[in-house]
Amino acid sequence: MLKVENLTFGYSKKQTTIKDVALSLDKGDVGVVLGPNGAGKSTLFKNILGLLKPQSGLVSIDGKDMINISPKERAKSIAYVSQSVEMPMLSVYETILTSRIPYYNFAPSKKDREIVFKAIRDFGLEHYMNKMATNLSGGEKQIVAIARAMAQEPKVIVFDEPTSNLDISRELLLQERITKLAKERGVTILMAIHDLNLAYDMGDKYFFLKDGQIIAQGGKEAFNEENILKTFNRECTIKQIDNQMYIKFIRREEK
Amino acid sequence: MTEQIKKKKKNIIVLSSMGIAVVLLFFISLFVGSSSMKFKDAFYALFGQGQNNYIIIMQKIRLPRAIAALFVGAGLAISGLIMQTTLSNEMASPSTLGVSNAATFGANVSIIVLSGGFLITGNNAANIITSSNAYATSALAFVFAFASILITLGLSKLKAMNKSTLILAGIAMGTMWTALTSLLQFYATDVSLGAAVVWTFGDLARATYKIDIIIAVVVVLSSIAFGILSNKYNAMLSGDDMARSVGIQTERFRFISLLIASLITAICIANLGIIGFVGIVCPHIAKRIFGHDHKLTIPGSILIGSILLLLSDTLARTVGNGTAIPVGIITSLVGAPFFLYIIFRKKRGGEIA
Repeated sequence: MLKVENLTFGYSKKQTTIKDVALSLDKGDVGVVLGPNGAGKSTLFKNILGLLKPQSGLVSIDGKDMINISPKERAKSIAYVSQSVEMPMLSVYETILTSRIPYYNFAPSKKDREIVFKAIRDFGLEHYMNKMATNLSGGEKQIVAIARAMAQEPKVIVFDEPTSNLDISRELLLQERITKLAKERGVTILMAIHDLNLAYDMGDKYFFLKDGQIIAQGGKEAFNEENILKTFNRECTIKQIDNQMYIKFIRREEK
Repeated sequence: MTEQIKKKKKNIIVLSSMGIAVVLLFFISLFVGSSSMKFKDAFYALFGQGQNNYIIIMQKIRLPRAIAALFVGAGLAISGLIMQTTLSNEMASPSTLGVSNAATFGANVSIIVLSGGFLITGNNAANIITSSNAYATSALAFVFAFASILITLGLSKLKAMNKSTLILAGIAMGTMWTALTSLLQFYATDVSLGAAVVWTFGDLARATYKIDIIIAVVVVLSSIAFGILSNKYNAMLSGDDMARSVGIQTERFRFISLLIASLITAICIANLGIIGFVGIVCPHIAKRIFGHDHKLTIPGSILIGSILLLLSDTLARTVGNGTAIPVGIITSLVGAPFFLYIIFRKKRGGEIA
């Protein structure tokens, strides 16, 4: 499905921000990239999305090369929900309609409009449809951004810190929605998330990113104290209470 | 869904009323003027009937002028809107890339250098602009405006196209052209200096059918192109990363958009002089009425641009007590306070009007 091989990127020739990254996800997988600020998560995502051009390496979806492809074709395979959900001064409907640009030449077809309406219904946005997207709350904007990504009908959606602006109930709702997208519709998801408890709950696969390199990866078993210590430089204990995992970081002065 | 239909209906009504206003103002501007012609005479003269001097006034003076107001207003407004969207800057105007400064320099070269304005005195200022080199002046103004666009866009293409570097490059280019203009004017004779300054006053009196046709073709074709791309301009509102992730080649798209928008401005300014404020104020009025959806702001800006310029030109020809004030003075004089009113008015929140 989504396959990244030997991906290397630098903003200048001298320094490399992403070094030799390889990762792969199957259909319907939720892959979580974990790493401290500045590890290169956003840069990695932008390379995978084709927003930045890697110096070397491969990105493919279902075997199709994603680097040397027109932006329009790429957009049919991969969509983006960015960290800062910058909403345009458009109605929610018009905002979501922009996701259909890869599919038509001159004007959106009836089918394009139906897909937009479906995304609006699926995410319970009927009442917001004619509201200005800029006037929505942070959580509502996040939902619109996801609905827009869904209406793009991609195989892969990349989420960069989707829960950063949300309160706890919105966060849980979003978690449910993202998991549902992956499991019910078979959309592959690659995301970065700061909250490790949430990351553990949502992920099928974990990639620990440090200084632009993946230093560890794997399924739930890879989510352990050792890898977290290596990545974040902080010790923690992971406890299981009632089948739920809890991560507690050890304060340095406690030692 | 019914709410959406209601809104659509309302927008259609607003746009059609603007369309009707354009038609009405077009005819008002034809039948109002310093001549004491009666409406009936004017009407017949429009179709080549009646007194000869009336026919000349209607067909040679008022009609080309009204047509110019119609298309130049629309052109400057749409150019301003596209500039504002593609540069993500509310302060962008048709001449953000330094087009009008370059056009002014080109005109100055023609008037001061090539018309012998350096040394030969006794030239009548009016002769210099209205004599046979009027076309040379327009042509040179256009050549410099177009060269300036290409230099500015080319410079920012050397490095990655960035919105703020583009604006800064435009400011730098504009300043350079202004300095060169001042240099020419410093050495100019009084008469040619006067002519050069008068040239910058945007005046629709310079319009001829030939100029009208050129402007109309450019404005109509580019408006159609912008209209077809309206959803892409909508996507540009979410920032470059989002636009690219829905498949728009943002750098190329911005380059072409700015090139066409500047071209419209260059053609209008080169032929008629600088008509300020229409290009910045009209898109803002359209956005206040319709929100930022380009399917509405594109036709909205076009119609508001025509309305504003027709209105300003009618005013310019009536308040001067026999002499027509250049319309560029009126648009800036009326436009600026109106603009202040718009920006200081409490921002409308919530729903799209």
